[in-house]
Amino acid sequence: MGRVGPPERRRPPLVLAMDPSVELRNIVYRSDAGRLLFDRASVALYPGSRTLVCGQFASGKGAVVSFLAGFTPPQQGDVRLFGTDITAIDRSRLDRIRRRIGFVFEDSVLVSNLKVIENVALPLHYHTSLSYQESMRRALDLLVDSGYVGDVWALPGPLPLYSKKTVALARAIALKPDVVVFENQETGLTSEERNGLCETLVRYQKAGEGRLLVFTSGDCGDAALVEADRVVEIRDKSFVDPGVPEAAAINGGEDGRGG
Amino acid sequence: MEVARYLGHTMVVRTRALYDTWNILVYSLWTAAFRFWLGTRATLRVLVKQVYFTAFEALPLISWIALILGLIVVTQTLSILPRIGGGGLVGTVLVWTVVRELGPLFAAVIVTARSGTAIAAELGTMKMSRQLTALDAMGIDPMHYLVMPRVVGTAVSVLVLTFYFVAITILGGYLLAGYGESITFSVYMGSFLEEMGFLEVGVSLLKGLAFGLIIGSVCCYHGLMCSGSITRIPQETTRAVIGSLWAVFVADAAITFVFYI
Repeated sequence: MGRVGPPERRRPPLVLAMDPSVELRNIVYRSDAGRLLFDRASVALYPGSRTLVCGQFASGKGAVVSFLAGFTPPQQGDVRLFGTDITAIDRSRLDRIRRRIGFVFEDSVLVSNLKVIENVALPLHYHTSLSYQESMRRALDLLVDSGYVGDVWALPGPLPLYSKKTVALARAIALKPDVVVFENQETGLTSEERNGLCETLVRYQKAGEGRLLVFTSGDCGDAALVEADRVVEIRDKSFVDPGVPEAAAINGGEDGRGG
Repeated sequence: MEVARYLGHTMVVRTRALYDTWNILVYSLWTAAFRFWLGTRATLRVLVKQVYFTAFEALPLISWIALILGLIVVTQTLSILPRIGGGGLVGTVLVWTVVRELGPLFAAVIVTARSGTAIAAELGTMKMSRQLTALDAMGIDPMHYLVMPRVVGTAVSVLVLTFYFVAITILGGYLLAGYGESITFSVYMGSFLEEMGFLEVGVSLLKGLAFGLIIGSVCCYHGLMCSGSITRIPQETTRAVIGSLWAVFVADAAITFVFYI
């Protein structure tokens, strides 16, 4: 026998009940070349989610990564990380927030004069009070977990791209950040290699509570590969969120725009 | 009109470069004094490495040059002074030439050629390959982690190498050139030490410290100026050497003028 009463409302996803880890509000951004990439665009990314941010070439994915890293502020709008607008804070506060977000950049960008293991240990060395031995041991564990196969005392320059990415991934999660951003994860890797890295990240996410993974890609079809539970497409100078209509509605409600 | 515009533009560019270099120098000193606790162990490793590469690894080269210079100076001094009845002035000549001028200058020139180029090229490469932005993204200020240890490390190195260069020049000079001559070691050293005062030692080390700070700041500035094309790296490295040498000689003249005029 069915329940009697008002019809059950569709429950919004759990993520919407939380404060977003990452939020871009009413972003207006024009690139150095003068091209308008975002026009009052908003999006919120929630803890525990695996989000793919996708868009065509030069659609603004790199700009989003740049906003989140605090490299380039938008000309208008807020970039909120963990509730703090990072466009309005000083360098030392920004650096403290940056410890809670790890980046795997498209070109890995390892520190060229540090050995592989030193690259991974660097954030531990700089930001924690761990002893040298302990931070090196943790760096080694991270390298093994991320699938790095090779000499940990090698300089990173001559390493193949996949090895560099595994090192960059190990470095990105060394401080156990709440958010990990994996920029253009499809570039230069085979599908097996991408799978391996994505599995590492998914394992990392499941090992902690409320960890947000953000992937960027030129192909929205990568959602299955990265096991994304949400896809945010950059289209028409805005964020379009076909995967989670409720989120789009809420974001749209704030600024009158979809996504 | 074109000439005036060109001169004006050049002056603006040079003034701006000087201002930016000065900022690097002041920031490095300030951060070394008041922010060194930040990432101490990681930053200290960079500083120690810089001193190792700049000072310790330069010791063989510095030793050879100091020995050869000592041979030249002592040979010339002992060949001329006794003829004019000034045999006892050998120490004076050594202090005037080696301690006051050649020691700090040679140490600075060798460090510029050996390590200044490396600093500019390395920072330039790191900037071009976005390694500085990667450090930024990790919450590590590249000015604190990369630039400050290089500036301070270079200053410490030139200071130490100045002292070492002077010592090897004076001692080696006697062993190579003075040993077979009429002057005994005790007379040689006595003459030298008699002329040495607090001012000579202090100014010589002050010059070493100042030259090191200048070389570190100028080379870091040019390394950080690299952008756009990879061909900027050798261009900026060359500018770093020329800029360092120019600034070192100007500073030398200024310090000499202030203390000895």
